[in-house]
Amino acid sequence: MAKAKILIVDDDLDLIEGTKAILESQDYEVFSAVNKIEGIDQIKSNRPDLIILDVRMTTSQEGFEMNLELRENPDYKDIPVLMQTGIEVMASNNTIASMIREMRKDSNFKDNKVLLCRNITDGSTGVDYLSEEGGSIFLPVDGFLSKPVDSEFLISEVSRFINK
Amino acid sequence: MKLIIQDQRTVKRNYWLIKLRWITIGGLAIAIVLSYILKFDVLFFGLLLVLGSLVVHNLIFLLLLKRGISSQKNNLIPYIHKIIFYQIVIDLFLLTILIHFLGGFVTPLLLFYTFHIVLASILLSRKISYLIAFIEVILLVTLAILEYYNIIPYHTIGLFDYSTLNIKFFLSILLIFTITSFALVYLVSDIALKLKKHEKLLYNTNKKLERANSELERKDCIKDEYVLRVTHDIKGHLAAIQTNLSVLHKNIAGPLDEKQKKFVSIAYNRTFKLTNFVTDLLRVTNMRLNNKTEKENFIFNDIIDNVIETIGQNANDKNIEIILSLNNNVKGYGNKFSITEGISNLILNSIKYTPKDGIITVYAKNMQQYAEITIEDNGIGIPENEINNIFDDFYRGSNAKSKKIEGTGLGLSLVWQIIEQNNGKIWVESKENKGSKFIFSIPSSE
Repeated sequence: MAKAKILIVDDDLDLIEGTKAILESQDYEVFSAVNKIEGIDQIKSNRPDLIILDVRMTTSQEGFEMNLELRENPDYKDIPVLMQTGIEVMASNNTIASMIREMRKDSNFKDNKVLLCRNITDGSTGVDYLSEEGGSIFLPVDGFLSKPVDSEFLISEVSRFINK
Repeated sequence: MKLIIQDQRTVKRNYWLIKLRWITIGGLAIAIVLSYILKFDVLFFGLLLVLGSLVVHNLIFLLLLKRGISSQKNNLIPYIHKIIFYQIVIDLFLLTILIHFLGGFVTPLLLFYTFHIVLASILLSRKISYLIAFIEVILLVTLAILEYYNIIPYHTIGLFDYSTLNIKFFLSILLIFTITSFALVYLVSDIALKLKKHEKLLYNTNKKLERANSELERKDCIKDEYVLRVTHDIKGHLAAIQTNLSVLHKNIAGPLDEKQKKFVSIAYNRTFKLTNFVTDLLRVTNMRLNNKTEKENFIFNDIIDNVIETIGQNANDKNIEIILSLNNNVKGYGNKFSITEGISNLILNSIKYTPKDGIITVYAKNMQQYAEITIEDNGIGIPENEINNIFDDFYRGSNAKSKKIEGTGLGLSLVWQIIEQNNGKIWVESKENKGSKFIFSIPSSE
């Protein structure tokens, strides 16, 4: 059986390098991209089983924008996405909801980039943010990774989405 | 439109003057009615003429004032001073006519002139006030001459004695009047000037204070933004370092020999600690920068259960027993999320500074206006002279440091910040080597 494919989209090449090593040790095939355009190219050519997506790359919301584009594309909307952020996340038993609430308080998102969490009827969670144009956009998110990501936590999160 | 403070004051004063004139008009109207009822021998036509003129005069200047406020944006103060001057001159003129109709030069009504002198001295500059006094004297002299030489006829009202009227009497009244008027201008404007000076001083001092204050706030904000920015960037680098070190540390890149492993472990552990430190710093700074928190009603029992569930393992690891002593339904009002964080931090703190097999007790009490939460441990405690510093940024107890217990010195300042933002209070009672008791209160409703 072919190896499961994971795409990492992050503008920090060193971080990609380490994450890649960790994931490859678990027998995943890992690709990487440093921005949205490269990321979408990679998805087209490699069709990953999971995407690990950084939020802030060239622009502060690039990860969200990319995720949104994927959700609107019928070919890619079913690929699970783990959002990875350097934004401060509370300890204790965090739900995704509370993480997003924390992100809303981050001064980087505070003013025009408000994030909201919504428990949609099927129980899944997502991000509601104000785009640069001022419109409110809802985005389903499968999971969050908070930087720096512990290797064991990374492996366990990834395995939630990929059945080997 | 918006007026600046000084303009506002000047405008207010003119309104005041106009109001005073309405009162005068009312008083005059009553006097006319009374003298009609009491059948005084006065020339009603003359009095009504003065009354009508006063009404028209007041209305015209009210209009001029309103027009001035909307059109004279840059020169409002000189404009208003000018119209106040004209108003007072016309008032003087009308008073002179009134005096003429009410018995002429010899009536005690002459004293009414002093009102105008006082008003001018309060409202206008000293020079202009002297000018007003001068105009008043001229008006008076003119009236006297006109009446004395019978150029205009007396309107006696039968109350005053005209037999003593001669040139000596006339001159003495005039002299006393002139002296009184000019002295009044001198005295009143002196007081008015001093008041104005003090007002200005006060105003300037206030302005300076305000400026200094906002400058301070701005600088504090810049500092915090800066710290946030820097720590955020540091965190990015740390994330990359930590992830790559973990590749070595967890033998993902192949096995390391003992010596290599030792150094990688040190580096990995230190990175881990530094990351915790930066994370705490980010939290405290974030908390400070974001004053707006959503508040809601919640039950402390739920929060505490939740926290214990999450961090219970940390206590188990040291075989520390956590005893809960909670009232039923302890209500709180605040940001549930940050308060959870605060309680979690306090209990983790107690776990950290309590030796193995220790006991931590959590109390929650329903007081009338607020809820009181206590976290008590039998750990190492805080030296008495350090209790006041314990909530400061980066402060760490000397006994904690000497026992080599790791910490960033930010945990308790974060808790302080959280309690403060939720309108609560926190304090600590502690004895070294006996244990610590952290107590905080949070409003129980909005």
